[in-house]
Amino acid sequence: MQKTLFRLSDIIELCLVYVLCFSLNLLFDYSGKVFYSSFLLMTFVRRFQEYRREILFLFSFMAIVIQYQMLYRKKREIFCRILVGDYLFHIIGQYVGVNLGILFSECLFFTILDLWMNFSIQSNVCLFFLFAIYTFISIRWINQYEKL
Amino acid sequence: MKNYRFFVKNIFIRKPLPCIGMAVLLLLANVIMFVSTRSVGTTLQGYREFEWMYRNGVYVPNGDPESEIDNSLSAKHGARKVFTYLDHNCRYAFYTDGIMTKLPNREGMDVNFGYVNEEYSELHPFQVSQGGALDFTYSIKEKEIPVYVGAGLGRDYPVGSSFSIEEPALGKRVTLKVTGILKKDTYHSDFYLLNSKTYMNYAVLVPVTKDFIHQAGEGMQENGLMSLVLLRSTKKQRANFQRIVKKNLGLKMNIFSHEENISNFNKYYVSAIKTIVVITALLFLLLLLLSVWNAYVSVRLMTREFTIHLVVGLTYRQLRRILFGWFTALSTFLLLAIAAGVAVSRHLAWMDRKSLYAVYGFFGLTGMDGVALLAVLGMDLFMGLFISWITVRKIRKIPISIGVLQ
Repeated sequence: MQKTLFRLSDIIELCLVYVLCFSLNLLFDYSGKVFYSSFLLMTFVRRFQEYRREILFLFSFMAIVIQYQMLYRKKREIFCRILVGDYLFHIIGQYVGVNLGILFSECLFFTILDLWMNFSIQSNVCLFFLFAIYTFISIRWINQYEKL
Repeated sequence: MKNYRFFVKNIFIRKPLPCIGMAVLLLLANVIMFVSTRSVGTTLQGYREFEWMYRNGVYVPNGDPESEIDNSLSAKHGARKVFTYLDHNCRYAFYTDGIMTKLPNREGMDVNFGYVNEEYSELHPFQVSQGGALDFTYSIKEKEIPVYVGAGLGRDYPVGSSFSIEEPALGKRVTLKVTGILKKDTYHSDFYLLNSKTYMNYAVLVPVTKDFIHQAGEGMQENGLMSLVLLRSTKKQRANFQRIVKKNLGLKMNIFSHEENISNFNKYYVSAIKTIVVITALLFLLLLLLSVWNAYVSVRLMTREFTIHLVVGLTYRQLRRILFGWFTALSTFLLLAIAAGVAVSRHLAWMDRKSLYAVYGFFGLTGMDGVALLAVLGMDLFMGLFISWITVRKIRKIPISIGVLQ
């Protein structure tokens, strides 16, 4: 863990963004169930549920902003590590490992919560893959910072 | 302005991800505020339309959800017998609509027929742009029935014109004479779903007399029974009404007094409005926090650029103005995008020939859309002022030397 690019504050930030997105997804399912009794609330919630995918996609964008700013701040660290003999492959491997580890543990937690509450886990899985894609996109920035 | 252009072109656009992040958060905040304001606003509009139903002496009958109309009794003109009782013993306000009929018009819209009696029209007068008051003195045996038409039908059927049609409630061919044109975007809310409304731009409003109701088909009579309102009736009259409906239609009727209506309004609508306000406030707070976080991220990424400009003479006040200007440009673009999206969705009602939802409005937007957009504008201004202030406060804390060295 000490060798990765992540510090505790980065992990907390990334965790919070993932938690927010997965919670929002859970909230969509939960609100549809809870507000069923009131027509006004139901139509209010339905307006958002119609665009659930788009809202979740937009919200998930925060994760890529976090990764971008984190790697931008670490560009000197990446450069220096390579300068003292570390391999780019190792840095990327550790980065992807920690990132996907955080993502997997949170996705697992929310999937169990979804199953426990009898909600579909489809959106959770979609979010997992979306965040995984973001992680792989962010590898590009590590490659960029190999040479300052 | 020169500084502003420089910052936008050389700093903000060069770091697109935090800017896109801010745009995303702003868009979500705008959409939430827009939907919430419109939901609450349309509910209050509905409440205003039916305010008279919450007054003393008004009783709203409603079919029990666990009881149904007996078709064998219905076939024996059960509803007509109920109306005979009502005509002799009670005063009632009557409005029913939803019967769609083909009537040639420029837009090729189906036309919604609405039926209103004199008492209802006195309690809730329909506003007209042309023509006089609704005439309830005609005789059904006369040649022509005076009607109002919606604004969309006004050019095809101007005041004074007559047209012959297979009247859907009477089930026979009659001639209708246009005596008035309803104001543009006249709407009618659903008493049981106050936030749901239909527009009467492609509607024909028929004033109904007692004779008309008696000659109408069972469908219209039964629908009318479900939506009529008893006025100034005694307890005995209401009990008799319930008994007669049960006897002639097999349907159990519940009658709600104005106190019960107010209590139901408080139970279902006021609590729902409170929930919407709380949800909106929480989401707004969350998005505001995320926006502040995103602004801090931008500061982290652009510290060098900001501090170098501060060294060469840019004041914090100017920087705050630049940030506020950037935020305002972003929110104006998003606000216009939302307005365009709503206008397109309203326009789709015209394209799909959904006459109940076709509105003219201002650039296709209804008054309530405009109010909701104003609320969004207010929120954007607040967010812009707050975020630009907090961003400059953050930048102030960065020592110039450290910033430049970065």
